[in-house]
Amino acid sequence: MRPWLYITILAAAAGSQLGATDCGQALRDSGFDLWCGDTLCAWKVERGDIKRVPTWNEGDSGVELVGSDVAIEQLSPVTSSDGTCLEVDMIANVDDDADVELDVDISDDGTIEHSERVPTSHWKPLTYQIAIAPPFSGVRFEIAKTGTGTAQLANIGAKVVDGCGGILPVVQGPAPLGEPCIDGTGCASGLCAPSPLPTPFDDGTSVTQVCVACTGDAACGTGKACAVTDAVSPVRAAPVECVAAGSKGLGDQCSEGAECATGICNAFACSTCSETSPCADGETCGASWPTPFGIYTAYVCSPGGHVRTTGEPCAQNADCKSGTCIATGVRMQCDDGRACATAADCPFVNLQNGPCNLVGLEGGTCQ
Amino acid sequence: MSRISLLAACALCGTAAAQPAPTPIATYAIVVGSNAGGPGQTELRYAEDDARSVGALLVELGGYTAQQVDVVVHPTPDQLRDRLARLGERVTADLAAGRQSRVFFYYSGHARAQAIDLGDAELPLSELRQRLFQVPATLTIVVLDACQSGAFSRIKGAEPAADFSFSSREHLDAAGVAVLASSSGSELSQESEQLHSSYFTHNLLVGLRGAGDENGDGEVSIDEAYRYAYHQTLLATAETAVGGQHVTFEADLKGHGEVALSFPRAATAAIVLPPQLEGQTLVEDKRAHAVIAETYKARGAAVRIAVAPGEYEVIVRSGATLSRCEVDASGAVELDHCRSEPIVASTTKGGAWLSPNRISVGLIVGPERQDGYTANLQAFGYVEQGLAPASAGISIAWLRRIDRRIWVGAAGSYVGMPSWKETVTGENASQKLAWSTAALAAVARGEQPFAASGIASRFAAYAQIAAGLGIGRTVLTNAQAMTYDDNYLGPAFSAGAGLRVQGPHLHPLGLEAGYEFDYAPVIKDLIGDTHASGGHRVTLSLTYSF
Repeated sequence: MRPWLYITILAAAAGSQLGATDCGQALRDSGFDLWCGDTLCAWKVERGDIKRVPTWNEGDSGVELVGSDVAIEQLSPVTSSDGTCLEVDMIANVDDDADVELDVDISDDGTIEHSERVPTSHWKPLTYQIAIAPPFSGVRFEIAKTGTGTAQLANIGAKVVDGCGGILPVVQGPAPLGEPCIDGTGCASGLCAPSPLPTPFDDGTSVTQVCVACTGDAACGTGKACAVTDAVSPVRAAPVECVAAGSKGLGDQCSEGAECATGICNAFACSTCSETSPCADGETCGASWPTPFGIYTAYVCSPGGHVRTTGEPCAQNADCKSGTCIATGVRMQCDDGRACATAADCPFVNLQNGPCNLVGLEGGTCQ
Repeated sequence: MSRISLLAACALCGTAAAQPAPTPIATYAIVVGSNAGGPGQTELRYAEDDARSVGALLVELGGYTAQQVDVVVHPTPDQLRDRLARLGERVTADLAAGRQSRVFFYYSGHARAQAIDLGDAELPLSELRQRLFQVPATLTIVVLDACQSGAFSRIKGAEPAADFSFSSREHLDAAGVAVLASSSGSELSQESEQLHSSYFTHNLLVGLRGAGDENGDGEVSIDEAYRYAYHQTLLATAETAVGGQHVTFEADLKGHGEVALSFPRAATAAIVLPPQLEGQTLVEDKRAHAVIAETYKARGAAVRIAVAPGEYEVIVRSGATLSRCEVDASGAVELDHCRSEPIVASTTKGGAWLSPNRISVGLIVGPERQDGYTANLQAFGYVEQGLAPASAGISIAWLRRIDRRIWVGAAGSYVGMPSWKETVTGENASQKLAWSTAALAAVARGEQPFAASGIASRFAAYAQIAAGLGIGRTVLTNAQAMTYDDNYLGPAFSAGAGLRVQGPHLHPLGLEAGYEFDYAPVIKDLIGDTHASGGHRVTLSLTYSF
């Protein structure tokens, strides 16, 4: 593909991910209404136990944090592009003997940047406002309870509002790789550069800068390449860091050919052919697996044409003359090309993680 | 239209003679009654019975033979034309033979400004007058019972715009013509379910039976009959919703002297109400269980009421006491053998009003009251649905009149309140609360008409309160499509006011529009708040009186 075509496609792909919040609402199932058996569907129990309890009506459920050390959490895709002021509404029934805190982890790096104590309350609405210094991408909300008293929650809504009225913004610590940045001072790595791939927080109109570990192969030294690696959070971009040159297999996400064992990076995936490295013997270069926009998939010669011989790389059985492609596993990836194991690894659309799709075989070799 | 009861009494047998003895003057009577109304008119109940009663009284006490009284019930215009034509031929023949004639014409039924209604057909008044004038009688007496309105009573007509009685009188006013009309020009005539007659005809008949015999000469002249009918009809109708009904009389009887309409002295039986008796008095035929006469008997003079031989009881209501008195063989009321009993409220109230019952069906609409319960719903993420959320429902009520302005009864209502919905963020799911409140309550209402009679009397202002039992219901459908249905009981209160208008032509239908504030603290949540269903409401009701 030509570079201009990539840019157009990337812009379209990034634009399609806009609207990570739901009309300004940053948390899914803020009312604890969705239960999958005995656990919440949209919230993750970090520790301890929970149980379903009635609230104002027998049919409207809330969650009780059972025990003396319990925590539930949910990662919100809210970014500084959505707004920098969050208004948190909460309805809770909290005894004197229970200590409940609302913790805020900006960018999902495991560091709690801000905590609010939930006071003793009997189903009275509480409202907090939290200002967060931009840029940021993603906030993990954690509700933790200690103590023996009852703590029941009926609703916790986080909504992006226009302004926090002068509240001092929470500044996150040194940003991890893949987090948006303005310059290197906010990054743990000290480096801030345009992301070589679309990010979960791109607005589709400009290339977002993210914290990176390197800005070129030269910085990585001999035998290494500055490459994108597997994403660690659905709210952050795939990290850019030094990897061994040629260490990526067919179909792995890439930004340049040096990363790939084949030496060819086509449509952001390690490939065996491209416009500049065409197939021999009249074979055509094509996507090994159908994907949106025809990107994030390996380009191979005669895909599905049963022409690859023993030992040649393959993405599906139909690539091989023998009809058998021996692989180390199946390749699963999100719509933005990042590798995933489950949907929870994929960037959000409307507060829900995007799909984790099967896109062929991983590490395949024709028999 | 107006009911006309034309009672044309053939001239009385005229003379001041003491007995209805055979007379050289020929006497004829045509007595017409028709219950049927024209299009849009309510059928009368007693017009034909009234005609029969008038005909019977003419034979019993008026000096007529049965052959001389032609009772015509429910005629067609052609049938009435035929009767009048035959009457004209007979009177003309009498005139040719040198005999004077007297004609009594009575009509009871529906009428319009220009015609009397005989079922679906009409007989123009001009034609009726012309045909009556063509009869060359020496003396003609016409009695018109024209009912023009009646909110609580059955009515016999409906067009107060034109005064049939008056216009008829104008046309019939001539030498030897007298016209007795049941009401004045702007009034409507009424029937009474209690009397099983129209007020006017009943009182006219009672007067002719002797109650109207002021001078005690044993005869009831047309003047005496008029005065009695005037006072008694006005008294009886003063407290009806329609208002007082004034009987009118005009005559040109020059040369005829005192004209007697009946001769109660000639009756074979009579009841004598003694001088000391005072109060509203009913004479009841014990065998027929029918009220023969109702009159207000003043202290000071005896009143003799001619009746057919039979067994009677006299009931006198005076103050708070009801006395039932036996009548001895001579017709005297035995005041010493009266059984007195207190008037029970229900008898007094229930029996005093025409159409004392009313049912109504109405619509209720207004914003639902906001309180702690609804604040909780908002706090839990619910949003009231609708661009202009409003509660709406229906009400049904039954009221009974117990006093001039007081009604009591029972009411039921069902109001659906605006639903509330919580959208589950990030999901294509929601939770919805549908709720409603029903109430059963006792109602007390005060009602004040804007006038005692006329068009304004059809309009009234009212205020009412209600208290009873409220039944609330909530149905919550949660995000996983499970339904939770709960019912609650509690008190329900309501207070309101409004305007009422009775339907045109005194139709039993009416319309009410008003405001009310409903308050039913019934629906409770699990966290300690109660919703008082209700709030400011606008009401619109259709009523039916009976």
